Amino acid sequence: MPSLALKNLLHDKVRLTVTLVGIVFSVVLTAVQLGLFFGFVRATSDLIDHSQADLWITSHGVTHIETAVPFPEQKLYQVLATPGVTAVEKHIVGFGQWKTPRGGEEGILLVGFNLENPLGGPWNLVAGKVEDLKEPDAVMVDELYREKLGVTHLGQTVEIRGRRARVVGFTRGIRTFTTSPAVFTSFKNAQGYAGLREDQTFYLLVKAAPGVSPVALKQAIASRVSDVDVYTRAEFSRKQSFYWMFGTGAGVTVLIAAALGLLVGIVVVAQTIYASTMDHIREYGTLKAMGASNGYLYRVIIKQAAISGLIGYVIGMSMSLFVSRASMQGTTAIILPPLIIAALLVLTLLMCIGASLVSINKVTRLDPAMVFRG
Amino acid sequence: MQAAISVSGVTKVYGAGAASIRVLDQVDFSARAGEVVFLMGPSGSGKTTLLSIMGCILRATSGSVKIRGQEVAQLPERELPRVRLAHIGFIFQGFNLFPALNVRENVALALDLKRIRGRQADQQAMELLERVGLAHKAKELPANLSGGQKQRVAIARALAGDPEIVLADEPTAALDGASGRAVLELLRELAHERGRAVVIVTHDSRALTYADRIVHIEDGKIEPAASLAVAV
Repeated sequence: MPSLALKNLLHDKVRLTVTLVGIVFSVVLTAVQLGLFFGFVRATSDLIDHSQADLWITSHGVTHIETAVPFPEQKLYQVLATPGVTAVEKHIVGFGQWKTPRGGEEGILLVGFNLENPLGGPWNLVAGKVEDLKEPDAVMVDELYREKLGVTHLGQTVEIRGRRARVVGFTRGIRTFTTSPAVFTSFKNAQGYAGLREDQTFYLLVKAAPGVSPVALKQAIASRVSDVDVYTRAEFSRKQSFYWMFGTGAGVTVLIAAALGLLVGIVVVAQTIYASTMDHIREYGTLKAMGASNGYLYRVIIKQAAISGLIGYVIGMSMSLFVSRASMQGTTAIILPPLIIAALLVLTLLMCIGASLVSINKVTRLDPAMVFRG
Repeated sequence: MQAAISVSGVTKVYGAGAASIRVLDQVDFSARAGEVVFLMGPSGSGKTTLLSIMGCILRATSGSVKIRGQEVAQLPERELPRVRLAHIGFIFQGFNLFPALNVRENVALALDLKRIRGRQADQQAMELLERVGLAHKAKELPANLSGGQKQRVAIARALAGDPEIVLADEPTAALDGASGRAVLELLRELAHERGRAVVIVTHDSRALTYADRIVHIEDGKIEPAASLAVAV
């Protein structure tokens, strides 16, 4: 069969270009916004997801990791006494102030953990070792934020809340949603930087014994330790992401932008496919007169839309992946998981086919007798 | 001999009430296999409407339409494309070729509608083009052909799938004299040598010598006295 759909598309290269520009714009806008969304989601919960803890214990009513309320460390012993617990570590995550060499101040996210059992410690180390944090006032920062924090070299001395700190290592790719860089240090240092008393902690991180269900352990701890909330790692991660993405409206904004991208795509594609259909309306009338069923004509139009969608998707997704790759060098990651890449293909095809429905409606009502009218 | 296509008592009225227009009024008409019938008349006389009704493109308000003796006027709308596809080839005044398809593909598209595809379609398309003398233009786009050549491609397309009836609407109107004669010669050959019923709507009086029979229509009525058989 001569592919009328493909030939029609290629015959009018200007219109094809306009259609493709619309689809590519839509795919890139949607993919980048969704990528930003997933990047933000990851940034909000990265510290939790990489903590290797099975459970997080917080004081009552903590809505997100950055604003914890301190509680007495004695609860650690109550938790440790719970059957099925193999390890419990005190942990600190909280905002702090970093004085840059230029004299300004930057907000940071202090992360204090037990160096002997590094639940909740740093990952992706590119310079230095976790053991280096045993040195007095030692901290680690992420390479992506070096410029922001004014860190030029390892061993540089800086100030956190008026206390001395020394950079002993760098991580790579640990982003935070609040744009306050994560600064890892020992629990003891963090207590000082955060202004906590020696017997206080923000969190307890729990490791379950092999074979013990974190959900069951959570219930056991919750029933014997008062005035705390206990979450599995996945629960706390979801709570944290939900707070930032939907509680603050930040994620909704990004999702709306993604939806707008789709909408723009639908409008552009619908308009160009409709214009193309109108250009070829006499041909569709001829086909109808020759005996083509409506189904045959629908297939031509849908094929046209699907081919446009496929070409537009390939170009648009290639551009989006390039942008995503480039974003990994910066503090705002655009993350495109394989599932989203595949879902966007389906979405693009549905968008294009959906957009062609206006044309299909036109062709359905087309009177084949038009071919005899001059 | 049974008519390949016949209409009897066909009336077509547009609109309703006082504003209605009777375009065809109790028309009887038939064409047999192997004959070329010219349907002539002034503009607005109803000849194209009659052609559309015979081609199952337009429904008559009343009356009977038979194709090879089978009543088709009462068939549901969804059945009509199948009837057109199986029995009728159309030739249009404006050629109505597909500009994005080359000549062979234009013909093959008609075969595709009849589910003849692949090599068989290519072969049949080339045979049809051979028959209209345009095999050497198979890969040309319609834009690169003359008016006469375009109409010959349209004829090849109308013949795809071997329909018994060919309905042509002013096939020579857009052509110069020589091209018009060549097209009419081809249609006459089709009727006489291939046994097709060919109905041509025209008001090109230069074409009269190609008709086996001429039917005049005026104000929606066939004029019996004016219809005549032409000695071939």
